[in-house]
Amino acid sequence: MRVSVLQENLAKGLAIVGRAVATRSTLPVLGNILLETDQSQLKLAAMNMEIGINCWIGAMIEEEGATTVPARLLGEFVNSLPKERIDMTLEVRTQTMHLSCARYEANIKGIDASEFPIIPTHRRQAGLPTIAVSPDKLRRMIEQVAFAAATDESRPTLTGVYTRFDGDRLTMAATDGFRLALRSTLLDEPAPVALGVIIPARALSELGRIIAALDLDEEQEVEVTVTEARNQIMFHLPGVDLVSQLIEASFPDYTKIVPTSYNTRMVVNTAEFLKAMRVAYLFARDGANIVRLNILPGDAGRILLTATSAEMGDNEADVDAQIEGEGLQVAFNAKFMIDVLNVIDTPEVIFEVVSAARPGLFRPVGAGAEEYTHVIMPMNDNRR
Amino acid sequence: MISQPALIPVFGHAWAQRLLQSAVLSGRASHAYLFAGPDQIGKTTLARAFAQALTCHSPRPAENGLGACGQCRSCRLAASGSHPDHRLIEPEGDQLKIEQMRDLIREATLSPIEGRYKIFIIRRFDFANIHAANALLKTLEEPSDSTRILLTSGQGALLPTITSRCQVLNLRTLPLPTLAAALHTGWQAPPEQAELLARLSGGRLGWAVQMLAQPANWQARHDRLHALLELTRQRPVERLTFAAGLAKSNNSEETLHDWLLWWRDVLLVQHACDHLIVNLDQRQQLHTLAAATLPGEVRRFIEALIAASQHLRQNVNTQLALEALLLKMPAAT
Repeated sequence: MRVSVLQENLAKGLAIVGRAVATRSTLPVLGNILLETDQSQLKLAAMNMEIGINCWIGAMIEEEGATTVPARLLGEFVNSLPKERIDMTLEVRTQTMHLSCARYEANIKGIDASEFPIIPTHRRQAGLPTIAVSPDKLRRMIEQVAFAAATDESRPTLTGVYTRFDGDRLTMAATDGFRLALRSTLLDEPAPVALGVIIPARALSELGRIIAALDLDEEQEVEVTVTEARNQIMFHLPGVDLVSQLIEASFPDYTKIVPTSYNTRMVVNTAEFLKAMRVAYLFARDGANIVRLNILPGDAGRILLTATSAEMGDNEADVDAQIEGEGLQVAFNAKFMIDVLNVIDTPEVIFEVVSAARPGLFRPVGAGAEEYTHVIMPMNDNRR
Repeated sequence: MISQPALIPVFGHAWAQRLLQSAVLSGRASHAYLFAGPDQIGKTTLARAFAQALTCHSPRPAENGLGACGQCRSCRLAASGSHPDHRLIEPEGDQLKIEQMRDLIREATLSPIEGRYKIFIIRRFDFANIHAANALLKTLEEPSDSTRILLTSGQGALLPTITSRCQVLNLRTLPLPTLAAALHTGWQAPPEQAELLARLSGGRLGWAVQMLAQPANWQARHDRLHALLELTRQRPVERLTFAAGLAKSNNSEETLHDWLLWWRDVLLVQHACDHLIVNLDQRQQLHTLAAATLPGEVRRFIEALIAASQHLRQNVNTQLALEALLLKMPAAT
């Protein structure tokens, strides 16, 4: 294998695939990055137990070949090099990669490429039905949903995001048992097959980051494919493939959790509400993140937010709201409220509650087909 | 590049091999297996070979083995221990910990990377602490469709909640001829050495292979036997000094085991059962000692040896126990 690449390209590619390198693994080869010549490009690939990323960068190929080298060493070495051409030569017998760039030379010992797991590539999946989604839309959806997935590994199913393609509708749902984020959108072209899978939330967050890093044009699309054995999902972007393992379980029926009626409905300015909530959080974070909402209907309706810290003091703020229905006192986790208000991008948000013991529901006002529903369980506030 | 088939070799346990092979070929492998039996008889090797066969791309019926082809990419990765869908989990220190089980439970919900199955081999599940064992229960009962869990366990008692969730394969020590043949063909041991090792190992192939790989072990055994012969000729005071030395070293257990085999041989020789002896290479010394001691004495000492080994496992004062034992050792007159 004999390849020349530009330092900038290689560094950028390594930064993208580097996120998938296994940090602790029983398989040494997963701590490595696969370098493989692929037609006139150099393919970089890395994977851990959850995701695999392929990235193609422009290269001058003089001799074909493949090897794997330790990701951390290669990444840090390449990042330290000047922005010039890097020549790489592999000595097959010892699996040692020789790199030279300007006045730097290095030999890096690798592991045979045949030990590296096979990550499906876009080209190999040709023929399987694909679903096209706009990258920006996908990134937005991930931002609004993935954070609600459980981080607690004791319930592995909930660490995933249920993703469903059905006709021209794409739906994502995530819950950690205390909150539920539900987002759906219309696809430009209907999906050729109906499909419901659970994708690890970490994989989707990674996808979101890659989309942001690639800086794509409006017209470019993310092509989504599920592999033939239905065990992996692939997101194909220009120059990058992200492949994620799927969580094999059945996702809980979340439709039952979404309240269908309300006793009190408020329309609030998102930014003001968020700001008041952030202030309340300063006091609430000390205890159990409890923030009490006193909903006061009337001509000039308002919501009174109070948070108390037993040791530090207390705080009170009020926010204007159009309130329909009866007054109510209810307590929520301030952190969860901030999380959802952070990702609602319309100026106003609908906030519905039934009673102090039933979940509250959030919805952006006027988001059209970009439906977003967020449900939060209230907190037990026995100090009242 | 066509090379030797990369099969994980399994010796003995023929019935288990047949059973597992038919599970592989029919595609109806149970979700969890428990390989139980004494130490170092090849439980993990059998589990690894089963995992290899399960993920093999083209399994086929075979006289021996579990049906893996040994040619495909998956078989090669499995043989070199680098298959991404095979996970070997071993006790950390002297315990399997709950963190290890949690990692497993999470990984077990993910789909396999390359093949049809994701296989977890957990060694020495009898070393799992109670929290770890309980944490695994749900996954062990109902893993995802593509997950297979293979447990190995020594003869320690497992929780009934664990065994009832697995198909249990009770493996035994290997018969002498199988073992000797395995050492000869699989590890190129000369026939004489293979025979001796087979007898010394008590049917545990793993032990024999370890012995074969480390010449230092041979020397240690030789030294121990030499010391034993010396002791039979020594006075009580010297025996007590030896007992003190042995108590300080941490190989009293191995030493007692060697002695037990040795005195058993002496007894066998005294009863004209030469063909059954273990220490084949020491035939002459055995005969000398057999002639110089009385069968009754030897039998009583063997009983004392067994009792002492048991006491040592139960935390008695090591030196006292060894001193008492050594004073009972028959003297060569």
